[in-house]
Amino acid sequence: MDALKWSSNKITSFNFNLSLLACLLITLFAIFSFSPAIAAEDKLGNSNNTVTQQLGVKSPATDLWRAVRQREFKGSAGLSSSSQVKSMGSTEFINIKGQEWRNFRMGQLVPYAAYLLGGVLLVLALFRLIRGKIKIKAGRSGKKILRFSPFQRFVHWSTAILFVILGVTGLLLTFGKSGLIPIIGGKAFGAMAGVGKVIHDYLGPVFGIMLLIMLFTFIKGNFGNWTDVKWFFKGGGMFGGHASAGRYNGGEKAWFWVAILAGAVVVVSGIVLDFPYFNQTRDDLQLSHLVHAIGSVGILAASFGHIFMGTVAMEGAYESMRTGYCDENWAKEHHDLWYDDLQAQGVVGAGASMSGSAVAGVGAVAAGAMLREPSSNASGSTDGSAHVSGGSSDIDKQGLMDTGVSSSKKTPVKTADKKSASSSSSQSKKTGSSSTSGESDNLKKIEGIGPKIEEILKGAGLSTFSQLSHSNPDDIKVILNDAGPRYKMHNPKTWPQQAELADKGAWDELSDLQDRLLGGRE
Amino acid sequence: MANVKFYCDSERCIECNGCVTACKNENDVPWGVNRRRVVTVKDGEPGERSLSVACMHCSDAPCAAVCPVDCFYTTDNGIVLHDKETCIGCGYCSYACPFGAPQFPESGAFSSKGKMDKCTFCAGGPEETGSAEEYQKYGANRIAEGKLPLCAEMCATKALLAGDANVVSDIYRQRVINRSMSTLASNVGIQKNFLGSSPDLTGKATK
Repeated sequence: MDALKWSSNKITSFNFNLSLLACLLITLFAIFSFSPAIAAEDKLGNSNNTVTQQLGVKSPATDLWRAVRQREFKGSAGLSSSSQVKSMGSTEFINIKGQEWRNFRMGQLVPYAAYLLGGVLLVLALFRLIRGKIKIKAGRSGKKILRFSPFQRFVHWSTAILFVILGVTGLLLTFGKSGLIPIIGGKAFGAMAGVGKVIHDYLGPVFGIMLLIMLFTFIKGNFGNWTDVKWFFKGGGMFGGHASAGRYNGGEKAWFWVAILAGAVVVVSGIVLDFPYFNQTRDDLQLSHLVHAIGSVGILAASFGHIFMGTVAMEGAYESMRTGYCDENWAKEHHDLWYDDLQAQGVVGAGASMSGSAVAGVGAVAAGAMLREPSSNASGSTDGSAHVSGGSSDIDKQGLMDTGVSSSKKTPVKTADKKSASSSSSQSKKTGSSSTSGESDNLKKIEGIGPKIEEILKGAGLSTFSQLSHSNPDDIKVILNDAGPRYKMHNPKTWPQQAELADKGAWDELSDLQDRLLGGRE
Repeated sequence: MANVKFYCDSERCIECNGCVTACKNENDVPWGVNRRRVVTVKDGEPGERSLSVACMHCSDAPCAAVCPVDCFYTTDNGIVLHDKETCIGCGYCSYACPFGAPQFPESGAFSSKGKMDKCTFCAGGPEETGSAEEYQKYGANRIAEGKLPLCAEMCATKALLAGDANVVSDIYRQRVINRSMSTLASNVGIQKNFLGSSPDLTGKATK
């Protein structure tokens, strides 16, 4: 009996110990119910399966925490969570993306951005040391060509200054902790970064607007073509050899599109971060930051190259964006196709009456606007009567010149037509006959006509100033169009008028007129 | 020194939001900020559970890791605090925190982020202990007065536990053992054998 009792006691105590063990295990994984919970359950399930079943004491808290840990409250299990507190992510227990974002920022962004940006700077510094400054080989010609209009420069520098400020303040937030706090201390850096953060927040959207204006200002001439591909294959001529380029070379075009496209990505993601009250979730903000950071680092790396080439690396590059004008020899060496085009238009080169003060170029919007203003000293070379006879219908050559000089813009071409049609028909016949006998003038004296167009016009029978002065601009246009698509852009509107002055030998007046014309255009 | 922690017992929390209110009142929390919140799952369905969530005062705090101005610090008690003087309101801590503890008063010009605010475990901040400035910026410093966070002290069902991590886990462990023993008793019949009667388990969350 005693023995029996003893043995039954022993069995109970065994059971009791076993249950205590189970309880302990359950307690353990109730408290540390994250990943070990699953492992603990597996262990129980495998070795003590019967015990678990028998006891059935799986704590509901364990289930809850496991579900929380595995985020079953979103989607899959169909469990929903709610909270009386209404704020961003208030119904969420645990946001696992936070850890991923932390790993990205601290483990990837900060070190890799430092390697990339530092590496680019190192490469550029090495390039500068080995290659030296890229000189204008032929030396400065002293002749200036208009490359960027004041408006283009305004857009460029506004965007550039904003970019630098945003870049510096952004880098401050990224690298300040590891780079500056050890030097200047947390308090001082906090004050600095606080100002930087406000500036960054406020100027970011402004940069977005400037980027849009930049797109429309510089998109013309920045579309890629076959020349750019060849330019890239030749390494932009950086390693010897010559790579042809138009108004913008392949590198400039690539930078333009990187700035616009990556800039757009950075601006959009930045605005998501900047205005966090459109019901953005924390996941949205984390993703936006990721995109913002990667885009910014990319655009910064590219900008280093652009700033490098535009300032310390190349002679004559900075001044064209600073002053708007580039040296003629610089244009010949770095933008030869553009220079050829300008030459074809007669803006530069032998045919153009180039001087330090009379500078013309293509695409100069503001300069064109300036021309619309009547210029008082432009009529200085004509005699006093010119002012009076300006509006008369019976126009002689003096009067024609005057209409060109005065502010009534519409008249010159019309009067030229009228003249060629009626008044001096006899003169026209005379010069017409003389030209057939092989006589020819230097048509390049006319602004807008270069050696190539001169050839074309002479090929079409317009060899003298007189012949040109009596032709209709529309007819010349037809001749140019027939010569090929690249001459389509030339506008012969003022050529007959210029030719008439040249024919008359009124070189001073012609020079005055050309001072006011822009690449042979009004 | 003790290493303090919060723990919320899901078997006891009744979603009364007393902790939320207590916290707001004690700390004069900025408008729009809730340092503590109660999250409920399966609201109105069988198996409904609630948990009170706030800063968990992590040993390896993600907020402190990502802070670009390094304004976080951990006290000897393991309480994660931050310096509002240094904070720039960038929001990185709120991206990184798994519990949504750091929050921002929407007081900026574009209702953008102001200085971050978070649960202090009722331990104030870096300002002089007990000063008006400390209270204005961070709320009460109950720890300095030898008291525990008010949210846990106020908890009607003692679901929310706060204090030395060892004590908290001891209390919770005891609760789990008690609950398990009750269940065990009903299943295996120990209680019946020992006490001669079955326990009444009606209304228990565990079954």
